[in-house]
Amino acid sequence: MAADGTAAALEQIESLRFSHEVRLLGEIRRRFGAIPLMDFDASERMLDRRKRDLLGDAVRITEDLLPDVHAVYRTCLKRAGGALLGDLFVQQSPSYNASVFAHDRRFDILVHSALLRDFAPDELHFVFGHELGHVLFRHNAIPVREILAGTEGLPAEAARLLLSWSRAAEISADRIGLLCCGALSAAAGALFKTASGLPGIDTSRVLSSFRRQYDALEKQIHKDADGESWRRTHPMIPIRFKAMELAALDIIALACGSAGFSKRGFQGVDRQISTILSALETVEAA
Amino acid sequence: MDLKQKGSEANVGGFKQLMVRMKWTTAADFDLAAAYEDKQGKQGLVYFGELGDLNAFPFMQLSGDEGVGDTGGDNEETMRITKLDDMKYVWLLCWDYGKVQDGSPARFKESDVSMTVMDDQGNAHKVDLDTGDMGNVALIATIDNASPVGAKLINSSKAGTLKGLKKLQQLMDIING
Repeated sequence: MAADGTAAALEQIESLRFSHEVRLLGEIRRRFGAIPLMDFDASERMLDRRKRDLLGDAVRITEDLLPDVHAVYRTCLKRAGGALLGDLFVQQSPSYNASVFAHDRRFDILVHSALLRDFAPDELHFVFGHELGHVLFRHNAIPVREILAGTEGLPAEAARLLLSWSRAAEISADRIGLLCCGALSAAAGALFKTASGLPGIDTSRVLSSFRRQYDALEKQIHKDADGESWRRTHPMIPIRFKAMELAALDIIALACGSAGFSKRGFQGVDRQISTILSALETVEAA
Repeated sequence: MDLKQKGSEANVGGFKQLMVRMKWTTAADFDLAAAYEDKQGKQGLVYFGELGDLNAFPFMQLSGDEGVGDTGGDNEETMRITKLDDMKYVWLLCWDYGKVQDGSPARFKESDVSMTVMDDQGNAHKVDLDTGDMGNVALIATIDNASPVGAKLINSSKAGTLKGLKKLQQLMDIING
């Protein structure tokens, strides 16, 4: 990680967007029309309502209240480099989860208290970075859950397209998380805790475990695709790990300074990741 | 940390992934390659004729000229190692394939070829080729992952001459020579 936490250029950050997501965005435009798929004013009103709810039901994290957590958050904002404007909130919950609501460059992140209690600072960098990734890539422009819930008679093929994009968007957001935490081990640690609920497991064991589990999952998918995974909004955790594992070196090179990052080189790696994940999706959808 | 002299080494234990970049600006047709031996004793070679695989053994892959920043002009080849765990040794090599074909010496000494090895924490180690040996194949660095304590990156600078490359053993003879 760059010692001064300098930001990657926005153009370079855009190059981290998963190419499969870019392709699906094109399909969504053709199928649904111009993006955003939500009215600008309605989106702004939603964020304002969300802000009111958070101020009422959660606790805003400030430098005075939780200086260490706030410092991590500020560092992530700086590394993401997108002139973003938002607040961080915490709410009591024993589960490890975080979410973001955004409108344009404004946003609010909500994290659960268990996550602040049990995640190491570098893992928090990953979590905050992931949520900021959704803002940077303007994923809020396609409110998948709202469209699925609010559109009667939406053809299954259109729903599949939106959910496939949602999964690809998570891969893009993970890359910003990795950019912010600067180490695959931290990103994997955060995913592991989220999936298992277990803190305190050695990093090497976590990495080995994910690698073995991805291999097992890949075999299982080929052996027994149930045709139901298209309903997921997020990719399966070992698949998210694999996508990060293969991209990690290039993203870390970018985090350390743009001189070590080659856009052309990364595109080659990204194409391979896209091929691997698309093949799994195809089997799953069959 | 820079490894400018032959024999200098850095303990870089704990890393699981590496990105190797070889750069040069002088007029030469150099290629980056990696010979390896895994912990079961299996040997192999990743080079322009066998690019490797990021997601399957040997979990390393060579890509062509990436030209950092896409500015062009500078020559650069990159090797990504996505999983080092199963490797015992990785030998990072540079050769001039045209010279290897006809058995003539390459101009390593007059070149500015250098190698940078970045680990998965973002630490970069620059390794300079430090040899006056004549040859058309140069071993620049060795990743020694044989110890359970952790890996070492060693400036191994040495060169040898091949006339044609048909067997991996020809390279191993230079590496072990």
